[in-house]
Amino acid sequence: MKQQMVLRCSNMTKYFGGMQAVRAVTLAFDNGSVTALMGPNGAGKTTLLNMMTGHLRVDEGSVDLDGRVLTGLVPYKIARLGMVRSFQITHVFQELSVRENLRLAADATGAAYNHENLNSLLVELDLDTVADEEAHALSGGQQRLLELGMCIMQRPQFVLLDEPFAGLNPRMVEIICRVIKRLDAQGAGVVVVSHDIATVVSIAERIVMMSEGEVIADGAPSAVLAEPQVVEAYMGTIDGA
Amino acid sequence: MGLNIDNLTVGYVQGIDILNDVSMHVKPGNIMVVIGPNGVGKTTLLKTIFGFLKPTRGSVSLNGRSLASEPPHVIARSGIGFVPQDAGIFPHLSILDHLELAARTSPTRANHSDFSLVEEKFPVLLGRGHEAAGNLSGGQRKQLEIAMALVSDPAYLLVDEPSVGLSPDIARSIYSHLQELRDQGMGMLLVDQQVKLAVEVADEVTVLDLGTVTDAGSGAYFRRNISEVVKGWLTTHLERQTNAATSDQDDEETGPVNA
Amino acid sequence: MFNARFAKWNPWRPHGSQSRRARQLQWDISSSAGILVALAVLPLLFLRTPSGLPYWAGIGVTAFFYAIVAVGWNLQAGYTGQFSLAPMTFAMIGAYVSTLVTNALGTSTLGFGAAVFATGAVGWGLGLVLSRLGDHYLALATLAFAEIMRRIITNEYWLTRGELGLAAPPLAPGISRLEYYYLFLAAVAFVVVGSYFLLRSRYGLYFQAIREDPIGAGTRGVPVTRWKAIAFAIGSSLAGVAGAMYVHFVGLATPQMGALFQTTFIIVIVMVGGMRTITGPLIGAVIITFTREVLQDYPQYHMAILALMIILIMRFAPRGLMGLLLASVGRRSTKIDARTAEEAST
Repeated sequence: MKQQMVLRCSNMTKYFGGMQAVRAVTLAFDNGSVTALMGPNGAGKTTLLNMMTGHLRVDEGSVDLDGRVLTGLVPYKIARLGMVRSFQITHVFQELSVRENLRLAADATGAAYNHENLNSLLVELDLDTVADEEAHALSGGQQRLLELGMCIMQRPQFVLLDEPFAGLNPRMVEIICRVIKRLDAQGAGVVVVSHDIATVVSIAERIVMMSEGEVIADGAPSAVLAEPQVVEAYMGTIDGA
Repeated sequence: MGLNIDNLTVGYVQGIDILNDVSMHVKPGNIMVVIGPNGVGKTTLLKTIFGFLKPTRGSVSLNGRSLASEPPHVIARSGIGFVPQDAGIFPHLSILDHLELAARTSPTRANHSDFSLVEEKFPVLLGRGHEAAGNLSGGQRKQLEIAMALVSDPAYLLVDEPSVGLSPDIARSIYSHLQELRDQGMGMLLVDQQVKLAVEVADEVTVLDLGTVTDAGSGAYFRRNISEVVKGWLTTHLERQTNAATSDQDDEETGPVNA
Repeated sequence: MFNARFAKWNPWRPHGSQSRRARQLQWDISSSAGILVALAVLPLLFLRTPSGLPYWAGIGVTAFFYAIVAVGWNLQAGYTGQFSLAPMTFAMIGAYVSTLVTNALGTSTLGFGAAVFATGAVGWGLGLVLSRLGDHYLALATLAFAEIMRRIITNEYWLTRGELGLAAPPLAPGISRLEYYYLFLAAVAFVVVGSYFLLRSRYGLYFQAIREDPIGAGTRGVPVTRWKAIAFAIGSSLAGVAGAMYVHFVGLATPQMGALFQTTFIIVIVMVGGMRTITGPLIGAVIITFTREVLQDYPQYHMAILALMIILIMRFAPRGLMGLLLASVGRRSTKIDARTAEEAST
């Protein structure tokens, strides 16, 4: 039931003016695995993500999912081809209810669902009591969970989450981790951009560490976090004599 | 005495706190450096102290007087200066224009022709006073940004990422300027991603991780142990993970209370 | 089966698990239904004074004409955020196409069909171009389009007889004004009910999403550009059909129909009546047309009053009169639910 699919980035490069934010990054992600994309501020993680999901033009390089080229496609096409994402600042439709937000995500992407799916998802996200409330009435954390729910309704092959844990209380972090683990078990690939080392270590099998636009380490958390170049990156790129 | 930050909790969106229960103490004639493994909260901290953001809990006080909920110009008037990461240099205005602008908009009604402090600290800048700011190098631009904050003669300076975009040597020269100001009695709160560099000039260090204070100590301590400290940021969670795994096993042996 | 479907539509159904938006839609369409019934019955007031009827029926036809164009513009500007300055331009195009085709081929049905096709096609093409433009540029582009079309029609004398206008035959030989009244009323009813079903569907959610957050909408799978263009095309073909019908009532197609002045009526109608509501364009059209009629001897007061209405609306009721009504309806229902829930638990 779980087919093997690979999400591949090749030579991804992005320039902002004279500055190279992402330098020829090549990475591959399997579905059915959870990968954390980490690195100090300015490392290029969100820029890479935005290029993959069609929200930022790719200067050089390509993205493909299971052989299907995604480079240059508009976001809605990429979503329909199976790669969805969440944002650092949530993009949830404030004037629609929780239920309407979820249904919209599924309908527009062309993903199937029924009453039971929807209701059990609401329970899982602890949003069942506010299902018919307009999204603007939810707290910031609940809106994050709603956005995650919308990603799930899109029935993706790959989910890219941009800082999903930032600022949330432990209970909500717990809910998100559980959802990520469930997605993983169902065969979706999850890539999480996060600064939260503690939480990442509890869910990710693999860490890709970036610094200054390049991948400086890639592997199991215990290996990556102890690597000297990673420690150096966190110390700051300026090296004393 | 000094600039006190007590149990500060701040967020932009309801329910999401960027800073959680943050406390630190900036003494006069002292550089307090805030470092951390991620970008979370450092700029928010400075913005909150300077009054651009209102904390949901906690307080900021200067020499015992609370600065809670005061707008930025009141905070500036009480003797705190702010050097943001991108202070908005106007490429077509001259250096002197910028200083005059800072003086005119300064709430302490600084004399707009007397830039003696600036002259003392950044003579080269004043020497090129009529040149357009757009022609300045990165380091000189940062000097100008600091000079603009100095115009109102603050007792404390908040500096956001002074080394960003600068080469190591230039960054060091900026830092030595800041150290000179410190030697003259100015208290400073610096945040910087360049951990190693910032710790070199620190008298006191606070570590901010995901919006909470996880470590604090003297500059000397951090200078001695910076590699271990940073390594610790990265690997402590790995240890916790392993500990959690073994303690789970212990629980199983005694029998879980909740299935 | 009928009961279940009726229950979904019925605004007096216990509200339990429905979103505020769904409830508002139901109140909205019910209000429209009520107003349409009232308008259908209105001519009966003239049983005693039948001499006034043709005149007022004509006013009614004009109001209904504006209402249909306004529904179309509401779809563009209200529901998908495309503030077009060319609604009446499409009405004018529809009018001329229908007149030319009817004069050439003899049947007005083909005239209508051609009008719908022409305005829909141009609307779709223009919509695709506009969908990439931001608010201000979109308004300017539609303004340019409006001006260009008006000039073409004025200058291509060989086809349109320029300022003199083209004579258009009536919709049917010997048709009375009262019959026109009911015909237009039926068209309005059709358009209003149609927009209800459109907005109630998943596409209604798409429009809402596009207006609120195009980036978020695209990320969740909505083809934003395509749906903006569709909304624009629907809006322009509604205007086109309205123009095609109206020109046969008036008897003359002129470039005046596409004047910017006319477009300001449409904008005022929708803003005063209620942006993003179904009933808004309808009541707005009735109010504005009636006001114009009453003040026809004092045109300067008329414009001043329109301006005053707009200012008051923007200050106190940004979503128009209907928006004001719907806002209070939604909130009251929630309180009722809370009370019912409390009572149920005791």
